[in-house]
Amino acid sequence: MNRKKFLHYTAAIAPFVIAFNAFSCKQRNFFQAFAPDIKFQNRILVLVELIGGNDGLNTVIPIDKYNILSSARRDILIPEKKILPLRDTNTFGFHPSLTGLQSLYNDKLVSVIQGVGYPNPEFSHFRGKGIKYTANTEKEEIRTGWLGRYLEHDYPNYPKGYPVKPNDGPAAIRIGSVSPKITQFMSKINKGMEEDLSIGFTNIEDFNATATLPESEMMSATFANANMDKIRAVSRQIKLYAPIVQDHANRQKNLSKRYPEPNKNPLADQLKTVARLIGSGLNTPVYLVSQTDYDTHSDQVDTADTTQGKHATLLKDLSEAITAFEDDLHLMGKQDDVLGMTFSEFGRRIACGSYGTDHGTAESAILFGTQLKSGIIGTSPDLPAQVSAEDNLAMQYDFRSVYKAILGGWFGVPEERIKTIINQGPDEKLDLFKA
Amino acid sequence: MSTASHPVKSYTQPWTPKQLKHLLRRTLFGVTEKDIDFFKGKSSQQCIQHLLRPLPLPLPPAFRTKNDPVAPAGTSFVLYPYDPEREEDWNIYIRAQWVELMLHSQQSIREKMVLFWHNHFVIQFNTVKDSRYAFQYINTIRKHATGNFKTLLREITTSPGMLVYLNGNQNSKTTPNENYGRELQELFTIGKGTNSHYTEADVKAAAKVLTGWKDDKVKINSYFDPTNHNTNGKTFSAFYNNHTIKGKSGMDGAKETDELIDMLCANPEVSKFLCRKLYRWFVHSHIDAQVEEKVIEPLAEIMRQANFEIKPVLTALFSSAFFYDEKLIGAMFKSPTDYFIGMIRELQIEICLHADIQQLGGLLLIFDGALQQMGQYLGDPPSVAGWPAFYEFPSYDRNWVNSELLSARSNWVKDTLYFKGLNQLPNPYLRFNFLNFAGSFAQPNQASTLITNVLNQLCTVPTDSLHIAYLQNLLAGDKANPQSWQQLWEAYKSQPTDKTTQQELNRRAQQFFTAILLLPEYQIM
Repeated sequence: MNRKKFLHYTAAIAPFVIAFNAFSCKQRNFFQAFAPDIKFQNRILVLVELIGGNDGLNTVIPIDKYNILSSARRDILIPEKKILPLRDTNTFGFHPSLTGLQSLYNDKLVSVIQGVGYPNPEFSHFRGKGIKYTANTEKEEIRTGWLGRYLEHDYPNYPKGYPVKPNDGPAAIRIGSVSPKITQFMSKINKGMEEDLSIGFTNIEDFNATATLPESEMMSATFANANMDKIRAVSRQIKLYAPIVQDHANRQKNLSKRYPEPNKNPLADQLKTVARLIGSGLNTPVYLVSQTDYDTHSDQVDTADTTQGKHATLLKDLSEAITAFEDDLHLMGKQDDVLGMTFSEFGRRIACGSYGTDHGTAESAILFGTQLKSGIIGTSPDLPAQVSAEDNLAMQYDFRSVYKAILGGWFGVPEERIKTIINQGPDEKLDLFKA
Repeated sequence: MSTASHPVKSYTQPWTPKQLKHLLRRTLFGVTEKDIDFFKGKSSQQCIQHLLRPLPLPLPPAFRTKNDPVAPAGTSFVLYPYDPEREEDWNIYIRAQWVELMLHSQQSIREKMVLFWHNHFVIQFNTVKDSRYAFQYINTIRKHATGNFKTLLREITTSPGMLVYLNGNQNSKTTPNENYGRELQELFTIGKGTNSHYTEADVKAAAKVLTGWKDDKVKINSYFDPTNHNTNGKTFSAFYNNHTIKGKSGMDGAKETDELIDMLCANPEVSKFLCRKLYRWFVHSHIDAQVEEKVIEPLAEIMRQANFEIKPVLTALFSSAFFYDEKLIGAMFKSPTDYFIGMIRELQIEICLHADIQQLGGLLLIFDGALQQMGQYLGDPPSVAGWPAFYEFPSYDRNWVNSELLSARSNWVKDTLYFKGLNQLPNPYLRFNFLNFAGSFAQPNQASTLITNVLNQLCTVPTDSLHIAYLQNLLAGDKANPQSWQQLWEAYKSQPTDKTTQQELNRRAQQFFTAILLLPEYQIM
């Protein structure tokens, strides 16, 4: 049975040309010409959201605590011999699914930051995600995302006047189910409304310009008018950006042979598209991709073999996707331009339940790219000798310090501006990148 | 407990087709001429009571299962043992029945409330992986859709589908699993409002109360296993007045679950949380201090007074002055079901059977293609919190309007209306008979009259004059076909079988209706 085949019809429709008033505006490269250092030009961040809360303790395993782990998480314990060793440490090893990441680590392309969290941890998925998207741990609800607040500076008055040739890539591209909240900022044009800097699609092939009608004056006096303005604005963004994105994707084929078959590994499919867009020279600085189902309350591992199961499959997909992606970027000559990082709403509990784990606190962030210093940042977690069901991992680094390190060290954002993008968190410096 | 200082002010202005249409747009999936005709001449109360009347429950779906190797034609899969090989298809039958019930709304609010509760008490069919549980779940919701919230909550809490989905079936005295205990409070009852102050300890205590429930794959229900139940007393925080649920042993342990639900629902946050959700579902996403005071509080009071009966709350909501406030017409974005199911009903698009998968044809396309790609896959919301359009601050229903989902709407409208796509003769999946549809309006030969009438019927708010000129151009055709619309229509009337005329009419009509369905005026409600 092949249902998919008739779900993808394309119907030709005469494009209706809109006279678009593209007035001149400042854009990314204009600003970069004045950036303090040329090396920050064209740098790209790829965020991989591990939706559901990843079990860091079974991802980057503290071997030195194996005795404690073997009593606290007996049901889901990875046999010590199966843990993948790493070149420079006897303290940590990788989950057996992460063979690709192990090679990348041993080739000095991977950093792991241990114990990424924040004080007074939140155990709700939705509060947890919100906190990671907005970089705000206050109780009130926040409208803007940390990357939205970063990007709005380089895309002033977005979306008015965008895109502008020749540097006409969207500020951010979102593939799959990542929330657009991360790239939202407060609109200067539509006062009181959030605006999203990202363009999202599921399959690039299906991302088509709609038959757009003549544009009317925007007049948000009523709710209905504001809603219609929003539809017109997004329709226009699709109309303008779909051809640009499609055209770039068509210019560049994937070069790596290491990708899994299509439709087998959703993350790999997403990163394949990202690699094509990066390879084509599209000047989009931020990509958002994701994997779902990390909420492993049960069936985290197979009962017969703890190296298999739901979590093992997710990590295998993650590892294969990143490995092929890095290979692809290397073959395209773009590897040095790209930094990748995983994040999750929280880690999981130290003790396991029945073949699964409950919501926890600090997580392990995995970063990948050639410009990283590489290695494990942080120490083996402090675990109580007798672990109770309530015990959680202590924070070692505040997640806001990681974001700040990326803004400063990767994008070259000056210190004063970082403070306006992320105005909270401890004063702690993380040095992630090569000089 | 707060007192109702503000009763809900009733709507007392004239009851005109405008208010009726607004009510139907918010309570059905799209509004057809047939719906309007049905309610014409009825008072607002008669309309509301008709919408809220109970409907009989559907039988388990028995689809055209000629080649179902396990459940033969005329029988339903719920009668057969669990079969992982058949899971995918059986879930498809549930979805197909679900969409059929939405399409044939019988002027009832039920399916709108079924979707509301599905978005509230989320399970994901693909996670539960037992279609018989999924059907049991959806029919439980259907049974209580406008019934009693506490009854529904109690039944859902120990429904086999939920026990699997949120791991209640693995929650035992030796290995507690907090998943349900947490979501029960965060998502199903108390919520995360500003006055919600339950603690992590409350999550753990609730999980302990709920230990011992198991699902039964043979009987397709659940049972209580006292040997897995934590019989200690469970003490809750000050938020619950330090209430202690006394530990009970033996089969009495199951009664702790009832006591837990009573304790939760005694907290006024539950009624407020639910009324906010109903408000966002039926009225508008934005709730400010005034709405909270004038609408949410009084509705919550009605809910508590009625011991969590839903019907009095909905009656008050739909009878209220605020519901018919002019400024709320068009204040919501249509969800994919409002949009796509509505479109099929409003344009009288025929769902065709097809040789593909169990002859579901067009029905399959609607849920497995259109709704899924537009972001509202029935039975599989993106997470346990439901669809972000109903919870994610500040965007709420603006979440339906992003480049990915609007692009999918546009693709599916074109696919549905264009002969190149699903409308392909001689074996269409979905058949839009434009000539019949246009012919049902007065003076279809007059382009401007036709445009006015079609827009009045389909759009939620009046259309921009620029759009009207543009639509006129589409009906007028292009230079290659200089015949005017009137000439073309009359040529068709005198010689209905002429292929060239038909083709040209259809070509223009496809562009015309595609444009209308993508109008912002059509995508809001």
